[in-house]
Amino acid sequence: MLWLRKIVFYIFSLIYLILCPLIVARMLGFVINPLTHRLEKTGLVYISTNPPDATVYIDGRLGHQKTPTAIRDLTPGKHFIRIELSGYNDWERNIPVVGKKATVLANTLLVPEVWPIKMVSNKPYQNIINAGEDVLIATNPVLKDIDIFHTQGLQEHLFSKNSVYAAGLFVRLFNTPKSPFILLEANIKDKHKFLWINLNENPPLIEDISDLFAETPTLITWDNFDNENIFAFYPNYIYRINIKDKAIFPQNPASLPESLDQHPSRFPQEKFLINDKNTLLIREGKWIRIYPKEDFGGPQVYYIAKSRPSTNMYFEDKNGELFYLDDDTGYLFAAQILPNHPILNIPIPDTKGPIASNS
Amino acid sequence: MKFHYSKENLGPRQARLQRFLEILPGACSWGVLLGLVFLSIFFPFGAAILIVAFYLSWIMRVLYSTLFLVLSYLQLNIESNTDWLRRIQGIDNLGAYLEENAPKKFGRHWRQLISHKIHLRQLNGLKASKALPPASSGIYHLVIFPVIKEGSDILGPAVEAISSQSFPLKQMVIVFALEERALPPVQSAVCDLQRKYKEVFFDCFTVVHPAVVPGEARVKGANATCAAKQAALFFVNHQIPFEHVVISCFDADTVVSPNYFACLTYHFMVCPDRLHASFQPIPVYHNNIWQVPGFARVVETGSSFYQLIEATNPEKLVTFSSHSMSFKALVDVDYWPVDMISDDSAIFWKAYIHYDGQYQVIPMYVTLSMDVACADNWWQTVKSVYKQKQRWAWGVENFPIVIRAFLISKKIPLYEKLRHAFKLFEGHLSWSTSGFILSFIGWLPIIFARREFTASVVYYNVPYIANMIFTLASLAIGVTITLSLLLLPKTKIRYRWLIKLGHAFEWLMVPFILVFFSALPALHAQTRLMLGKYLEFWVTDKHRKK
Repeated sequence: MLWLRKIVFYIFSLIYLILCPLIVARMLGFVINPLTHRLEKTGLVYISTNPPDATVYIDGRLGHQKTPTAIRDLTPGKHFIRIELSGYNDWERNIPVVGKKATVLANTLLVPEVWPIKMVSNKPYQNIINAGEDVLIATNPVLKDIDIFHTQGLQEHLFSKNSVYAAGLFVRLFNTPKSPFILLEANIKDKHKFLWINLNENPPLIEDISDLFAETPTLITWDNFDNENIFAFYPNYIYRINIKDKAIFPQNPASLPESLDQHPSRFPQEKFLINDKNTLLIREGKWIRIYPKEDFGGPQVYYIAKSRPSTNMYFEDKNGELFYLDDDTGYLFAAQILPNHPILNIPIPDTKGPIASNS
Repeated sequence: MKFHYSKENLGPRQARLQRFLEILPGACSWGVLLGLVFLSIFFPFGAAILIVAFYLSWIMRVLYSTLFLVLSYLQLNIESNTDWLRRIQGIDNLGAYLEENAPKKFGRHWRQLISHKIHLRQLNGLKASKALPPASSGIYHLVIFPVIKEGSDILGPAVEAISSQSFPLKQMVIVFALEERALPPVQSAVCDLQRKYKEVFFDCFTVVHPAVVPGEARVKGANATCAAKQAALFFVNHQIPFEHVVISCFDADTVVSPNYFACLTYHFMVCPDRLHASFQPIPVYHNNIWQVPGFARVVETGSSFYQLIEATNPEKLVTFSSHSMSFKALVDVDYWPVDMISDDSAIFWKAYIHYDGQYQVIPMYVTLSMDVACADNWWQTVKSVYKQKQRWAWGVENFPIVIRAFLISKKIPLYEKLRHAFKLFEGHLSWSTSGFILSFIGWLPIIFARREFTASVVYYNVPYIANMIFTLASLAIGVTITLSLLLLPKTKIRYRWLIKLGHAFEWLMVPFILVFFSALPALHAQTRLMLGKYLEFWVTDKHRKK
């Protein structure tokens, strides 16, 4: 056995001595060109797509693996890459490859041949407002026509037909991004009302807190995680209103909670950086468009649908769905922009943008 | 060479050298680990190259070990039905036996043919050496069981197994090396066993090792040495030359297979330089294998496999755990070290240095079974297994002493010194670092990658190459699982196939075991030695269900 062990040891040592430099050289991007028999620098292209499992062709040749994949041993220069996935438009670009460098096409968004768009409600709305997580309030001038949509598909009326508030008229709605509460300002039987509504309850719990407002504030806001204290902003002063105790306190502006959003946007929500920040989803005029961030083939624009201007849109990260009001009908629609499952990129690349040094 | 094999009572120069060499293994292990972490953060390209080179060397080593694990297992299997007694009797009349058997074909099975071929080669080697052994009827076996807390439930089966040997029992002497500080129930259990087996063997007696002896540490080697010295007097009184005695120092839970002593006698007789040799069986941990948590089963099966692999390389084999050796050699080297924990490996190095390199370990393809470390509950077992592995890794205490001896010795060939020193050092270094590099540190260049590194092909190629290497390693795991199933005891258990299937899946814990029951205790042991916080002997918990 000993002699066998020695022989095998020397064979393995020899294999290691030969293989190790070759593998390290390959790891560094060096390969032997079979034509010239010389060591040449190569680069690679890492491609991950959204959705994954797309077929990659490089310079017309079929790649071995589905996306996400790294295509190795590419000679420096431009390479034509085509990505195919059934039901999606082909993605084609000339990609620059640099020796010893990786060109990263991370989260490349594949555009469907037909955008999957579904009608969520066949009732026209004036606007939609995101309240808390996964909740949309679709507003209308009359309170009884205001509906709540959970992005998972559940729909309910904010006010029942028999509610004393049902015939009221909508004025404004205040919300904060993660709070399950909204504050609705309305005119009910010629009276100006402020309704504090807890959306976590079913049906929503409505509390009339109009007595706490002597005059109409310019802004009402509250901390995401403090649902007892709201802050009412007036031109020359701020009040903290404790809803539970029905108490009003003058508030020193210097001691406002740091997490309080004092400048909520007055503009409609119509711009989203999606797909791990690699794609811009935006409404320009009536058209909802997406702009992939990569710039290898020059700016690309894809049209999705027409949405009513000046209304909000809402992009649901978890499901990859965009909620918007249709321009023609005012109905609530949902467009599936990204697949509703996360993409696993292995290895996890830095996706801050294209990396190739000559790009 | 006369050499004081100890870290104690050294001159100032030797003490400084000893301390430096104690620091070296731990410092190198920490240097490798922290160096790779540092490189991963600040020079990821360099770290990636080193890590890939390491991965590659690791997979070559894994494949190489797997190949010899399979071959070693085959040899164990080949020799499983060997009639050792018949072979012993043959050696007693070597000339006639060789003439009669050389042209014969023993059986038709390939296993018998290979076994016979090995046997004939050994006989021819013995004949050529002209170092003929004493007659088998004149060879005596001395078996020492150091006892401190093992009761009759542990010790009883061990002695029972010896009483069932095929080798004549009247050529065997059993000595219980009882610690004075052992509790009364243990002492009475030993007395009972002595009484029971007194007439079964040539003799069976107990030697009580005093609790405090100046110059001794509280280690197993001190207890065994005390017993061996008494046994030496016994053999002198009975006019049995030490050259005819083979000593086996067994852990109290050691249950030998029925042919163990016949096999040992054969190897003793057939080895031309038998007085300068230790005999290493294959330890398996089957006594309580189905009573311990899965991780402990995998850990100990891994230990058995390590010994199987090592058995194929007698040039570098070092004694481990329960083993046997020439009693003459033991007396010549002044018995086991009385101040070291790793007495099993230390006795080899002591003899190797004493005989100026003319000492070897002969592998024996016969098993002896011991207990898997097991405590009252799962967490205690985790601690027990960890401490046992730390104690095994404390074998690093031999490194400074062996190197000091090598530096002094002029008779041991330089090549042999370098070979042994490298294996000793590299063995401990890779023991304490490989698990960490494979599990954590290998991924650090990717985790700490900055923009410059993520834009390189290296960033994408490291996981790709690692993936290929780990896929190859899974082949080795597959072979290991198969062998572990084959090596399991054939005892009747309920739901046997279901349990065996479960055991196969337990091997998925290998990455976890590699870190927490291999690399970590080894690094712990080396760090303690580096800091001068010497380990004290700790008796492994061994529980068996009745």
